[in-house]
Amino acid sequence: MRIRIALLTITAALALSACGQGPASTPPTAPDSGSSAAGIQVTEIWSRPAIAMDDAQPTGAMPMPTKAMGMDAATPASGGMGGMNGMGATGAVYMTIKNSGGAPDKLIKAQSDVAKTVELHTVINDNGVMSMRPVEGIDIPAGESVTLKPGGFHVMLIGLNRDLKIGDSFQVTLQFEKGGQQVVQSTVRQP
Amino acid sequence: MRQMHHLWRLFVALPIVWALGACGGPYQFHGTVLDPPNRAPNFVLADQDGATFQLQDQRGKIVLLYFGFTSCPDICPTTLADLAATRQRLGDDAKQIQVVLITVDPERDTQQRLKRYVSLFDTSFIGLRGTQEQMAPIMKDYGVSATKRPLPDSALGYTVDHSAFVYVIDQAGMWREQFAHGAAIDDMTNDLRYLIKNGAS
Repeated sequence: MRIRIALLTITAALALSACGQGPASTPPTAPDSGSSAAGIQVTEIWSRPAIAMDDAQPTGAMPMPTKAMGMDAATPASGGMGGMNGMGATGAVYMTIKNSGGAPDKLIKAQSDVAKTVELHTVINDNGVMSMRPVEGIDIPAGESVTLKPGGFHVMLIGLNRDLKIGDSFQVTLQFEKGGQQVVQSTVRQP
Repeated sequence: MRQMHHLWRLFVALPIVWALGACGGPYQFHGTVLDPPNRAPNFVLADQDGATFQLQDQRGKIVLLYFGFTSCPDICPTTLADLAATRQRLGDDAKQIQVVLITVDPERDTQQRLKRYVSLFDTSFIGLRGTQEQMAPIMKDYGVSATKRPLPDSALGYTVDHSAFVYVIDQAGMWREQFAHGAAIDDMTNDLRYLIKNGAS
């Protein structure tokens, strides 16, 4: 009798403990607007929305905060409370680079009309403290794919001269050590 | 022989305990929990509209505090976008969540830039900035490290290396847990759902 109670309880426990984990969500894949040359194929190029430099003209109406916080109509057009070096806000471009050639290659430079300067950066996580560092190049080993994604390597846009809004797309010119130049389109979307 | 007499109770008790632990028992938070929770240190800073923000005025709402800066191209936007997505998952309950970004780069992050930046992610987000004197005790209280580092090879001039945690403060103003960078949106959503339902416990 007691054995039966014990067995019943164990079975009940097993049943109860099958409390599901929620379904894992997979992020949507970006539409491809890549290109390829000399074994290098660049796909899934995307950027997050970002704001332009303080004194640049935004492309659309400024989003208004929904909560009433004593909005003052007389917001100064630029400079604000002593913004010094005029460096614009930044953006990042992510992508997947595939090297189907037999020799290793390297992304060494990038350029875009949408920003004053474009650099290559990575992020280092030192026990919760995040540091961003510029890199000379991003290695793409032979026969491998490298994905530039949030938290790691990225093409950094410095001094944006216009806002990047969801749905926008803009050109980025990539320079590979061996593969030469490639022009790709980046789509602005939420991750 | 006496032991056998009581052994069956173990077979009843253990599975019950295990089942409770697996489902419906004490909730397992996904971040780093502060146990016991401490009162979140209060602070007063100016927000993106120039109004005064005081943390203890937020009682009744859950505050998600994040220290970052607008020239941060990757880490900060990732987390802020994740927090916006978390709010969306919470639907109607999202109005009980207040996301607050405190800039660690007040030199470049003017009030105006902060305002444009936070509104990019969600119109409910608040951005705060303060002087070095105002910021120092706050960063100490929350264990935030933020170091300005020159970047001689970059047009950016300098970056700010900073701790990238999201600090979770409940409706009673108690600091409950913190999420590391990259915490899953599902995990954050579930923890917040629990806190919303269970109020200040």
